[in-house]
Amino acid sequence: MAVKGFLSALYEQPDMHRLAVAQERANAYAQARRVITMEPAAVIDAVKAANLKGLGGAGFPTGMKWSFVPPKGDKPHYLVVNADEGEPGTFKDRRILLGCPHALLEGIIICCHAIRSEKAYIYVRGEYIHEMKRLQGAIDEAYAAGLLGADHLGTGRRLDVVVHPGAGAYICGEETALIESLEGKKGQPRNKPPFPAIEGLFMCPTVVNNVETLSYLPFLFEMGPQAFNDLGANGTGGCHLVSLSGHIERPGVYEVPMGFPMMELINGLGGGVWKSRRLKAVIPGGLSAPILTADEAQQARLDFKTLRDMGSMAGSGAVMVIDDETPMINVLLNCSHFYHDESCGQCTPCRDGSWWLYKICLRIARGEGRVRDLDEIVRICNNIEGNTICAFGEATAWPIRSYVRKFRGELEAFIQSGQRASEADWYHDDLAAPPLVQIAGVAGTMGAHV
Amino acid sequence: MSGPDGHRGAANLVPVERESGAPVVLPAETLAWIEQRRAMYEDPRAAILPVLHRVQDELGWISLEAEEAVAQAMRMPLAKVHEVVTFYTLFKTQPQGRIRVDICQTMSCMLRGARELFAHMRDRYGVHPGETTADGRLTLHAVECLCNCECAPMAQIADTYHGPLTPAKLDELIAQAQPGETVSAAVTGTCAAAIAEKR
Ligand SMILES: Cc1cc2nc3c(=O)[nH]c(=O)nc-3n(C[C@H](O)[C@H](O)[C@H](O)COP(=O)(O)O)c2cc1C
Ligand code: FES
Repeated sequence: MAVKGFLSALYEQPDMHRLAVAQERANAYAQARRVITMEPAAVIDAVKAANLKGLGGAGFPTGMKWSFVPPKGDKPHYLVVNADEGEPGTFKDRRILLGCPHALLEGIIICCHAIRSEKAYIYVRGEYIHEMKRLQGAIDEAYAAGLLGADHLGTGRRLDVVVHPGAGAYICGEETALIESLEGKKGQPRNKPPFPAIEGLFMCPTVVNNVETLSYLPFLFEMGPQAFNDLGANGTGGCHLVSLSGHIERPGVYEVPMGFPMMELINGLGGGVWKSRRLKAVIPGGLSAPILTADEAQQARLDFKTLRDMGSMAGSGAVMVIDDETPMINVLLNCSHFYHDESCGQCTPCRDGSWWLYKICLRIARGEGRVRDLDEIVRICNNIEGNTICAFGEATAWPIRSYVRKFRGELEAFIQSGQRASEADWYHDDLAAPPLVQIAGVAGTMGAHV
Repeated sequence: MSGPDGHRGAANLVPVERESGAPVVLPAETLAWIEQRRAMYEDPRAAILPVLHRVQDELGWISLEAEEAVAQAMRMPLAKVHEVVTFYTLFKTQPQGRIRVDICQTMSCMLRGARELFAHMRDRYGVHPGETTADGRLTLHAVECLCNCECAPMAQIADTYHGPLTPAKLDELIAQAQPGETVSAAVTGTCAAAIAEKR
């Protein structure tokens, strides 16, 4: 199925980051001009009717999230844009930041009108230097054209947009950790409630939305909520950007409607598994998503409901393909290392649990595991799940447990063979506390050590 | 930053040399930038990440003395600055080489051969993750997903993402690398002036 591009039609055109080009060729800001004349409640109703869902990972209905913001009182309201793109396998927000930042800015204007906000912060991961520069350039142009700033678009109100750099921490993608980080603190998630819509940034009502979610708003209003809803399937409207990577012939970002078949993505758009190999497994929604076996992938469709019903999740729309020559122990070890590395350390089940998971996986990878270690891994996962302040706990427990459950036979055979995994040599030995000097030598690294 | 306890910041329990030996005096221009940045937030303390980026962009790393200078400029307790510096991996608490070579070690890059790149860095340049070459030119770090997995295996060399990489391509890029664009320059724009004017 060929798909008419929306965001992809913008970011694939050269110079679309320039205001004049975006206005001339893509009618940029036309929808924002129209929406700011609507009642905020009507804007929220339209977004609800369109069934737009959050594309940052959680799939929460966007219109409903906005409706939680209380009526305007003494406190300012804020929009915080999540551009901390960090879910392993995901690389779609940067397409927008680099290729069509005005679609995002237009979405920001629309959202701020709906939630009565005069200030938006865009929190961009600190590694995205060129992306921040692009975005800042687009913002500067928008200020100069009166689209932002004092009396923006002739509304008589201000709208300021600030680009804020992150500094390297996966957890800051979680919305309350992001808010803490933006306030100038360590990025550790908050207990909820209160939810950000009531007490978010600077203790004021705040909406946190992903870059891609907001960037679809101009299209939603251009085609109308009904048409947007009809584009999608299974309870979610519209399209989304799927990041396809791993053992695939044509990795890249593909814009597809909700409900698009997984195998059409892999074999059609993606050109099939690389090197003419066979499919072993697919991670369908970012590293946090439980894995699908090749058989399960045949039935899978890319939308929140289908994947949830299959026991996985659509998450951030990141599909990672794994070929049949990949030993599962390497996948398990790599995943456990990531979560161990990125745990913010606030909750004991997550901090210690992710450490134990990594230690056990490393021991297995070194050929020193026991079959009962697999049960231990599942037990630790069960104890992390549901027992942490934020969903990082599930993001750790779900994928790791799914690897063990779905590839148990292979992992048992590996353990019984006493082999050493090819990846094992690359991980720093912190099974036993190493002497201080040795730790000092690797302080500041991410843990991988030869 | 994984330390012996396996959580962020643990590495800082280890007594490593973090003093540069000389007090850090921030230039007037930097202090003016900091003031402008502080004015962009309802709570000026929120400027700490961009401010630390700016200071690191100028000094190359964040020594304890630099933390003291930032604490003063930000009117924040040193402990709060320290807490932030040690939480985030992009802030370097050790002197760094002039060129950063951050090789991604996460899933998609691992699947497509990231280890070959680390092996090459070890064999050709004599550096393991976290180490700087003897000539001080580059520091290697093993980093988590940089969100450019379509170009796996990939690395950020100085300011720019590169991939898919082979050892030969890596050599070529390292030979040409210049320090390049900085975070603080990338986020400096006219909206700051507009917000400051409002106040
Ligand atoms: C551990 C963790 C990491 C996350 N990382 C990101 C991220 O990198 N980008 C993002 O947009 N959302 C991320 N999220 C989801 C956010 O918490 C939040 O749901 C989202 O930004 C809301 O925007 P949306 O409704 O438009 O998707 C993460 C969540 C968790 C639990
Ligand atoms: S896994 Fe390396 S960039 Fe994403």
